Amino acid sequence: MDIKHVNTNTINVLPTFGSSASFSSLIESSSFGDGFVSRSNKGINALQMTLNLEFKELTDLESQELISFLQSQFFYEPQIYSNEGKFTNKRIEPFRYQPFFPYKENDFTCFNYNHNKTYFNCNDVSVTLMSIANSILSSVEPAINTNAAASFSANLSFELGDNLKAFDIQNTSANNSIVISEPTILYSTLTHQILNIFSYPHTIPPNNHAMVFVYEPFGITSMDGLSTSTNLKNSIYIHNPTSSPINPNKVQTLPTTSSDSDYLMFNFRPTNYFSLSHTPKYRVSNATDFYKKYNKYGFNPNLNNFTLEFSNRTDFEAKSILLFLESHLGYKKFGFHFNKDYNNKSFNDTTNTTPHRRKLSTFYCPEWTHTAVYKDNHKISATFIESV
Amino acid sequence: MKFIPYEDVPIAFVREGSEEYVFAESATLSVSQPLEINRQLDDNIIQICSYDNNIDSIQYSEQTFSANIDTQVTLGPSFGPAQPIATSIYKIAKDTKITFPNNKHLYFFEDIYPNGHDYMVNVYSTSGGWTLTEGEAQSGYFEPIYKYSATNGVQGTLDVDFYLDTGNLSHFFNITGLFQPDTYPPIDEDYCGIILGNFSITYAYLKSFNFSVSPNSISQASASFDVYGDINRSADFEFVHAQNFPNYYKNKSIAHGQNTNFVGLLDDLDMEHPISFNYGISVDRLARYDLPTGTYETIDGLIPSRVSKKSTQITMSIQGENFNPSMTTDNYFGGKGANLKVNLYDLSYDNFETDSDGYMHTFQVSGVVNTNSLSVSSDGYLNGEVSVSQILK
Repeated sequence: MDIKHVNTNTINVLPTFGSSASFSSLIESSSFGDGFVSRSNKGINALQMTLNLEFKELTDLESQELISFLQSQFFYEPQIYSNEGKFTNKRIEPFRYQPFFPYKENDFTCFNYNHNKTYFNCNDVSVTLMSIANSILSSVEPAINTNAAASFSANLSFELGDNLKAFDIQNTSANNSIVISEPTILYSTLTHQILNIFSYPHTIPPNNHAMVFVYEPFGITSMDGLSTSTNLKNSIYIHNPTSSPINPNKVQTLPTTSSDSDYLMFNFRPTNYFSLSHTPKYRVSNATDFYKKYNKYGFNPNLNNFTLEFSNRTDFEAKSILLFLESHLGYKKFGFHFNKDYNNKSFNDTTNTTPHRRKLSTFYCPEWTHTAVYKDNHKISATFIESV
Repeated sequence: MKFIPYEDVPIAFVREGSEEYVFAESATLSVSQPLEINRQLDDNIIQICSYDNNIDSIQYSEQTFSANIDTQVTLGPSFGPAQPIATSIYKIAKDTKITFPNNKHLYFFEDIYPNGHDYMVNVYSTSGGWTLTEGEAQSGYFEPIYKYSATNGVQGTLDVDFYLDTGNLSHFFNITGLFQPDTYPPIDEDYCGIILGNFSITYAYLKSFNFSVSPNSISQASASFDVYGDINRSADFEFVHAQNFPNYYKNKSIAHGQNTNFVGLLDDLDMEHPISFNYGISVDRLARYDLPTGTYETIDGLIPSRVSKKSTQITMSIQGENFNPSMTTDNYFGGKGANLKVNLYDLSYDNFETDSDGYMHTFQVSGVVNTNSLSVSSDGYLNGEVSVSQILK
C-alpha cells in the first residue's frame, strides 16, 4: 500500500533535533590462550554508520513527500534484461543525503521508517538510513607524525616582540603544502605547550617559510611543533576534518615496546556520573551438576566494559570526539583516564604491564551513538572495552 | 533610584500589511530557555602530574612552594599522561582556591577559560616552605564556574488583557479563522508580529483567547501568545505610534454587555436571565525546530519552522438564575448537548463620530454540558452556573 505518490527526488525536509547517528564496527576476534584476544576489522567497509532521523510535526503534504520518496526506492519496475545477460534495474540504488553536523554528504539507503500520525495534519516520521559502502581507507590517521599528508611538523622560531606573539613557521613535512588556519593548534613536540593560531598565511608551500600569529598562554620562545590540521586530512564520515585537530598527547608511560607509545590519549571526560558493572573472567569446572570449582582465568581477569556518556558537548568538541573515535575504526586502542579513584597509585608502570595493575589502561570503542540535542549541544554515548 | 513611568504604552499586532493596536489594560512578556549544567567526571578536581613540562619525563617529584611566587604545573595523574582541564568549565577565576588534603592550599594565578588543551596552569601559594606529597597532589578540590547548554529553543509568552473591538477580533484573536480564505488545509498556523512599547516580536502564535460579558459593563478579554525568536528592543518606543500607527488616538468601538445577546440559553439550559458569560478558546501548539546541517552559527533551529495546531477546545460558562441538574437525555449517556451563541455588540451610539459598529461578532459553541452548579448564600442571589465545552478540531 503506497502513500499518495508525490514526485520527489530527495528528502526535502530537515529532520528535527533528537536525531542521531550510530556507528558500529565489524570486528574479527581471534582468541588465544589465557583470555588473550586479538581483534581486527572485517574488510574495508567495517565501520558502519546508521542515521536515525526524526521528522516531527510534518504537515500531511510534507509527510507524503517524504514517505513517497522512501517508498519509491522500492517501487516495482519491469525487469530489464541487458545484453550482458543481467538484470539492470533490480538493485536498490543508494541516494545522496547530507546529514546534520558534523557529517558529510554520503550514500544512504532506507530500509526502515515509521510513520506516526499524531493529529490532523500532524505527522511524526522516524527514518533509519544506512550508509552504503564507505571505506575505512578514507580514515584519518589515528596517530600524529605517521603520515606526512595527514599531519605536519614545523620549526617555530620567535621573530617579533612579545606583544605580537609572531612566529616564523617552516613546513618540514615531506612534499606537501599545508593550510594553516584558525583554529589550528600547534603542539610542542617536547612539552605540553600549545599554540593557537589566530592569524595565518593560508597556504604554505613545501619547505617554505611563513609568519603566523598565535595565542599562547605561556612564555614560549621557540619550539618544534606538530599539528594534524592539514588540508589533506580525510575522514570517512566527518565533514571537513581539518578543523578538528587530534590531540597528539600519547600514552607515554607504557613501557614495554615502542609501539605502545603510539597510543593516543582520549582526553575527553565523560559526564560526571557512571555506572560500572563488572564480571571478572573465570572458569568453572564441574564434575557433576552440583559440584563445581571456580578458577581464576587469564592474565587480565578484571578488564572492564564501560558505557560512557559525553553530554552537553559543543559543536567543536563533539566533532573532535567523533573524529577521534572514527579514526580508531572501532578496534584500535587508545589511552583513557577514567575516574581518579580507579588510578592505582601504588604500582609502578615501568614494572607492571597488565591493565589491572597499572594506573592507566587502554581501550577500544566498537560502537558509539551521537545525538544532536539542540544547537551547540551534542550527546555521545560510547562503549569502551578495556584491552591489554 | 526611582520608578520610571512606562505609561501610554502602545501594544499593536502586525500581520501581512495589516496592523491593529488594541486598547489594553495590561500586558506581560516573559521568556525562558531550558538549560542544563555541563558537568564532567572529576571536573572539580586538580591532579598535579609534575612541576615541569617535559612530555618525556612526567614523574612527580615534590617541590617546595614559596609564598606568592607562581609555579607552572602540568595537570594529570602522577606519572601521566597529562590531562587537560575539563571542558565543562567556563572559567576558573584568578585566585580560585585549590584545597588539597591536610589543610594545604594553592591558588590559580590567572583567569583560565578551558579549551580542551589546557595541560598546564600557573598556581601560587600564600605561604612558603611546604610541599605536596604525590598522594596529596592527586586530589586538589576547587570550585570553577561551569558552562550551561541549551536543550531547546528560547520560548516566550505574551499575555495581554484588553478590550475587544472589530478590527482586532477577526484578524488577530480568531484561533479558528483563516487570514487567507483560500488556505488549504483550512488551518491557519501563521504567526503575527507584536509591538509592545519599545519591544518588537516577530514570531507570535496565538494560543488562547478568553473574554467575559456581564450586564452594563465593558467586555474584557485576554489572550496568550507563544513567542519565538529575537525580541528587539528600541531605545525609544515613541516611534511606534508616531510612524507606524497614525490611528493610534482614533476612537475605538469596544464590546459592551448592554446590547450583547445570547441564543440557546432557554432552549438548552433552561436559563432566561444570564448575569455573566465567559467564553474561552485554546489550542495546543507544538514547535518544530529543524536540525541544521551546519554549525550552531546558522540560523536554522533557532526559531521553529512550524508551530502546529492540535486540539482546539472551546469552553463557555454562563451564570444565571436557573439550575437544571439533568445531565442525561432519554437514556443517552454521551452528554447533554448545548448549542449556544453570543452576539457581541458595542453600545451602538447613533453618532457616526463615535465610530460605533453595533454588531461586532458572533461566538458559538456546539458542545456538551460539562458541569452544572447551584449556589445560594445569605447575602446574594440564587446563582446557577453551566459550563459547556466543545472539542473543535
